[in-house]
Order: sequence, then structure tokens, then C-alpha cells
Amino acid sequence: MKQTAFYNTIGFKLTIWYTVLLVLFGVLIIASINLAMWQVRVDLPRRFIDSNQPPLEVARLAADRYVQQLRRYSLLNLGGLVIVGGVGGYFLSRQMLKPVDRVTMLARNISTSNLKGRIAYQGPDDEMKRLADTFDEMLGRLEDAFECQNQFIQDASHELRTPIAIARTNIEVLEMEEKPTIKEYKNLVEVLKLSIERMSKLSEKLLVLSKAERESDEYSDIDAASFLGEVVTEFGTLANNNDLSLRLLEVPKGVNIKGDAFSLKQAVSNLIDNAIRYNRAGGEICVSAELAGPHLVIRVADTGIGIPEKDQQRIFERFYRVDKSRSRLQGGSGLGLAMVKKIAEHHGGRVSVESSPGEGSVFSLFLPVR
Amino acid sequence: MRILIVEDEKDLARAVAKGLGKQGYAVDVCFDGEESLFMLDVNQYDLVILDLNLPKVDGMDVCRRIRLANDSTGILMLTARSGADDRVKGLEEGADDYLVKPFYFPELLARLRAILRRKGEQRYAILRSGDLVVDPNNLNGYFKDVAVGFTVKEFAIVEYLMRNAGRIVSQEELLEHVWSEDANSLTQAVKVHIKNIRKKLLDAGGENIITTVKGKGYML
Repeated sequence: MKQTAFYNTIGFKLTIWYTVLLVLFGVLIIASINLAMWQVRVDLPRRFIDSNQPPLEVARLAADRYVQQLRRYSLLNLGGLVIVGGVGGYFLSRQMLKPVDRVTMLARNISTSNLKGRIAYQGPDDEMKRLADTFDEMLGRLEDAFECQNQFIQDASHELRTPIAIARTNIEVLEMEEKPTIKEYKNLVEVLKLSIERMSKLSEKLLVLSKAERESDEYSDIDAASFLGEVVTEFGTLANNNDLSLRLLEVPKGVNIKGDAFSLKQAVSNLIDNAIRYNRAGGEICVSAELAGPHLVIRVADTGIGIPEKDQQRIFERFYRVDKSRSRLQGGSGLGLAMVKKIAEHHGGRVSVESSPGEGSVFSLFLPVR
Repeated sequence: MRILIVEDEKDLARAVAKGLGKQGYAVDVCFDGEESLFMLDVNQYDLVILDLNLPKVDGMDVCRRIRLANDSTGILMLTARSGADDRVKGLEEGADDYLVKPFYFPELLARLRAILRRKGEQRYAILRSGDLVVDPNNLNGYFKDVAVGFTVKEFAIVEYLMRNAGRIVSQEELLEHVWSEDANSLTQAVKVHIKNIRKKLLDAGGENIITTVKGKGYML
């Protein structure tokens, strides 16, 4: 936050106000007492001019007179100070706190259902303005979070609609049949199985995605070499079955990534899974890692269909698919890369892609090292 | 009535096609937008059931192109896009109706019947011609409460003739609108069905209401 000039603060203004008032009242009190004393001095000769009393007695009477006058004016001033101080203090503080009331009123008008509103405080750049601005910033973050969650729910429901529609329509059409055959029933079971599989895969991914969004305190140190070795080994069979060669190149030894092992594994798995899914027969997949400044860069390179340039930014969006029918055929849900991005960002890293259509793609996952 | 289903989810498309087939509709299925434009070019459809998220050519584009070609074929959008904005956009692009997935199959049937009703001459759900009453809801016809007992195909022919009553309908037109693409039927099949229909109408105690116009076709 930027520093406000000291003369603009409410604190400074208050200081000036009460210093000026204090000095003013002080001067008034001192002046009035001095004046009262002066009056006694003027009065005295007249009182004692014809007096036959001895000088000592006159002096005592004069002193009494001074003390009396001093006491009277002191009390008078004290009373005046109480009244003026009370009334003045009240008005001064009210004047100074007026912006607080204004901000409170504005804030009250912004309810949870209407996070769009802002205080948008207009005024000098002081404590009040900073408070209002901070409040506005907080509202902004809240609105973003709500928006994000809304989007998520909408995406998820949209994606669940299709498998539900498939299941439901197949059941309802069979119900219209008077005497369905065993073959038709078997068909239905097959379709239902596929729809359920699709839904459970989707819900699983949504769960992981929402988990990746939550703050995690359970970060541990993960040895990059053994971590990557493990993940790549798991995909060996799948790559073989698809007539692809999957290789892990040299990984720098003794490098630790700080993170959540489960979600990091999910991220790397998704990249390798995509590389297998969108590869050509007889193609290869190369996993490598190298240190680049504060990051470990994990690269997954394939010899697949590649990604057109216009789609390269959007593939990390939820439910974005370059070729809808193809990707669905391959069992893609459009969530994999969104998950990778979320997980990378959550670990203080990022993910990027370089690709030339027809030749292949290289996905780079940047993760901070210990 | 002939219907084209454009839907890339094959399991859904097949189920809908089967369900509609049972209701006497001639149904063709295609799985992407490009193919649908080709099919629409080649065949005469009474209605298109159109998904929106389609490979190659988007459903909205298909709809727009149908309307730009001055084609008033009924369009029912069937999609997972449930937002009010999408519904408005779909209808404004020229769709006759919009149904969100997942849907209740009988509702889909009712909605497409409503569209076909609006497109045809007869706006009532139950069709009438003299003493013959035809009810699309149970695929049958009645002569003074005596059921005629049409087969699904016979019913489809009678329904098409009734919806176009007062106009000569050629055998080719019947083939176009009552048989689907893979049926591969000949005009001979139409003749046979018409003959059976006439016989059933007489058996039910009614009269022969289908007139043959020599060299041109049939008329009700």
C-alpha cells in the first residue's frame, strides 16, 4: 500500500486541531486571570486611601483580596473550560468521525447477494480512504471467489447433463417397448455402464480439482528423480499397449520439490496421459527434467497431432477441447490440463506449451525447488 | 414425417432414433454438423433435432444456414447448454423449440408433435377426415369408434396424407417423408401400403377416402 503524506492523515489533523484549541484556551485563561489581578491592583489604592490602619494590616488585606480574586476567576475559568471543552470536543469529534459513518452506511448497502457494489470512497487520501479502499479490495476478492465457484458448478452441471441424458433416454425408450428382448436389455446395461463410468470419472476429477484449490499445509519434500521414475513406470504398460515408446531422460540428482505428492503426481500423470492419448501410432513420449533458476522444469514431449496456435492458450481452460468429438472418443473430459494448471499454480509454479501441429507438443511444468 | 437427428453422442442419438422410429417417424441420424448440412441438402425433412456442441460445424451455425436457405423445416434444439442466454440465442437463430438435456422422452415427443402441428395445415392433435379420426398419440385410426388397426408405417402414410389434405401427394413425396434413408424403398412399396390401408378402412366399416390421381399421386 502506498504511503500517505503525513499532513493528510486524520491523526495529523486532530493533533493540529487540539493543539490550536488548547493554546487558545490557555491564552484566554491566562489573560483573564491577569486582567482580574490587574483590576485588584487598580481597585486597591481607592479602598485604602483614607485608611488609618497600620501598613502591615493593609498589606494583609490586600493579599486576601488578591487570593480571593484569583480563586474566583480560577473557578470561573474552570467552569467555562468544562462547558466549552465539552461542547467543542463533541463537535470536533463528530466532524472528524463523519467519514466513518459514511463508510459504514455504504458498506451496509452491500450485501452478500450483491457483491458487485463498492464503497468507492471519495475524499482525501487519509486513514478513512485507506480503510474504504481495503474494504473494496476485499469485496473484489470475495466476488472473484464466488464467481469462480459459480463457474465451477455451472461447468460441472453442464458436463454431467450429457451422460445423464444418455442414460435416461435409453431407459425411457426401452420402457416404451411392450416386450423388450434380452438383447435390448443387455444393450441398455452396456450404455448405462458407459454413462456411469463417464460420470464417476468426471466427479473424481472435479474432486481433485477442488482439492487442488484448497490451501494445503501438508507439503512435503519430494525427491524429483524417484518421483518422476515412479510416475513414468506406471505408464509403461499403457504406452506399450498403444504402440508408443515412453522414455525418461536423466533427471538431476538430489533435487527436492516442495509440494503435495498426490496432486503433483496427478499433474504429471495428466500430461503423460495426454501425450499417450493424442499421439500417433509408433510415436514416442519423452519425459525430462532440468533445473532453471529457482525452478525444476519437467518436460513431457510427444510426437502427436499437436495443437493449433489459436488453441494453445485456451487448452488450460476447464472443459475446453480442441476437437470435441475426437477428445471425447478418447475419453477426455476437458479437465485434465485445467487440473495441471491449477496444481502448478498452487505450488507457486506454472505450466506452458509449445507445439507445432502435425509434429507434436512439449508441455513444461515449472515447479519451485527446495 | 421424416426427422433428422444431429447429435454427436452416439448412444443418445441411437436411443432417440429408436424411440422415434417406434412412433412411426422415419429417422436419419448423423453425428456432426458438416454431415447434417449435406443430409439436409439431399433429403426433405419435416423436422431436425439439433444438438449445439457439434464437431466441425456448430449447431447454431447449422440452424442459421438452414434458415438462410429459406428452409422452414422444423428445428428443435436439444442441448446441455441450459443458460437463459443460450435458449434465447437458439430461438432467435430460428429454432422452433429448445429442450435441455437431460429430458423426459415423452416430452421430446410431445414437443416435436407440437412443432409438426404448427407446420402443417391441421393444427389439432387429433386429425379428422370425414368419419375417420386419427390419433398420433396411440398411432391408430378410428371409424366411428371402431379401431382400424394400422401398422406403424400405414399410420405414418395416413398421417402425412391427412396433414396435407386437399393436395396431391406423389409416391416420391411419400417415400421422402415416410421412409428413412436406409430403408431403400421403391414406389412399389407405397402402392402395397396404400392398398392395405384401403382394405383396412373398408374392413373397419368405413369408406375408401384415399383418391388415386392417375400419374400424379394420392389425395385425401
